[in-house]
Amino acid sequence: MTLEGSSAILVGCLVYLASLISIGWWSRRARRGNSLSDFYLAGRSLGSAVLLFTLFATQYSGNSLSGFPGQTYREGLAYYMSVTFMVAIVGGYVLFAPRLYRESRRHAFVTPTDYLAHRFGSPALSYAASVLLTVTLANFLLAQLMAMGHAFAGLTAGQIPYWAGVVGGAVVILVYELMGGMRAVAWTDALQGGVLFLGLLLAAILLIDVVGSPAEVVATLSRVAPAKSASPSLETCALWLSNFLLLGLGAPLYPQAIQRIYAARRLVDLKRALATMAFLPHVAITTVVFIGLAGIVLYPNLAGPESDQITFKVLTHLVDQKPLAYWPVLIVTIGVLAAIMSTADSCLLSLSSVLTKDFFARWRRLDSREAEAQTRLGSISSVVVMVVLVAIALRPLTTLWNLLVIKFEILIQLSPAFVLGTLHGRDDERGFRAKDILRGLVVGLTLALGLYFAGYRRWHGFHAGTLGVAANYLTVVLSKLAARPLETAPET
Amino acid sequence: MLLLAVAAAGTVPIAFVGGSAGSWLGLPVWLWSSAGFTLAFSCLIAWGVLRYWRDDDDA
Repeated sequence: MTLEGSSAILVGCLVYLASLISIGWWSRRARRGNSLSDFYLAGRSLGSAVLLFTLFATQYSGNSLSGFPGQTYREGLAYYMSVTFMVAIVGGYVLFAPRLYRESRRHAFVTPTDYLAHRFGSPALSYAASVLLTVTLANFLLAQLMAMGHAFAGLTAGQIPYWAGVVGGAVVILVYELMGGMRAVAWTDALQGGVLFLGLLLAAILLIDVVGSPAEVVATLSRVAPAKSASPSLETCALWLSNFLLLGLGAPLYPQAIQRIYAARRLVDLKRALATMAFLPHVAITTVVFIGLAGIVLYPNLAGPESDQITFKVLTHLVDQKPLAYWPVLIVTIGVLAAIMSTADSCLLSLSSVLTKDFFARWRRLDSREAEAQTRLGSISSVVVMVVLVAIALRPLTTLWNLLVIKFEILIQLSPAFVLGTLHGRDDERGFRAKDILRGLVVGLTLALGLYFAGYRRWHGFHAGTLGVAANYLTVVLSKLAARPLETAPET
Repeated sequence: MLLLAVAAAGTVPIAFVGGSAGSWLGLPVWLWSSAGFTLAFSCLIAWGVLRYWRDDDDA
């Protein structure tokens, strides 16, 4: 029984897409009005279970399932550190989410920039943040659309070609998102997160049955590929520390992540979701790493792009060895698609909210009484964004691809605005000022982009973005300290 | 809290500064310290979120 291109895969994909549309229709019936809060934040009504799965599905993109095993295949056992990176993301939330959640309830924020505008009152900072968020989201969504096209084409062995995968997937996402907004996205995320988690659990169990326990795999690994079972070099560890900081400080800043903080029904729901999230990488990412290690044992001599196909190769091997594994593996395979689509829908919704609320509504000075017009505008912006990005995905541009690689290093420069901004209230004189944050942002961005485009993507293992954000934090603190004597001089 | 903090702080250097430490400690120690650190880190986050995160409005 073969997996790739089988009619079961094709039918499975179509059933999955149809179920997404059904959930969209169902969520439309649950809508309680036409406000921006209802459309973009599900009326701030997400309970702990939905919140957990939507955070999980949004955080684990297609790259986590297909990229991490490939990376494990190339780097070996030491890539187990990727579990730590994913836990670091939850740690990053804790740095600012408690105060941000409280403020979002008091002031009804919809986008991340709403908080910055309220806290710092600086149009320059608000527009700068909106531009950075737009660039990041557009690039992230573009990557997911391209990954979706490749996933459909790969899984169905070309029965659904790349272009049809991109266009068809985009249309399905648009349909259910326009019907139910965040409610549809969160509910489909719950399905997608569930499929993903179940698939990974099944894959782990089956893999142990076929290739042996993790201890046996590690023992075999040290025989067949000793270099991939050695302890890491100092520079590799510096790279990990950089990844730890980059993911921990950057990933919680994704607008779709921040909007899920706003969308929690109660504080206790958010607390339960985040506390559980802290443990999910131990199952999900450990399994993903195990797939990569099993790949080394089963196919020790793959190189280049072939190593990125390791997940599918290992799953195919599973089916060859154990025909009973066919259906569980089908779930895993659809889980890969689910991971891509769940990230794409969240990006689209957030991008639409940023364009509508932070740019258009602010430019036209629309207020909350014109909520219906703003929500309609949000729907139109979703369609326009999707059409433009699908057109680009069908003919990718190299310059955009360059931006995609460094999107995280751009996004992370907003970290001081949220982490240091939430330390004090708006009227607290001890708090950081807009000009401190802006100075840090300029220094951080200049350093990160300057190093990147000068060809120094990394320095002794540290990413340009990590060095940029370190300079950013330092500048913010120094700017605040330097202002203090001057400001207090008249009083003394 | 103290125990978790010590566990996390104690294993960080090994988890993140493998290199020379890893060469004489060997892979098993490095791997277990990384796993230990990550688990301690998860416990610390979950415990901190559930124990200390309070809403002023509820107080």
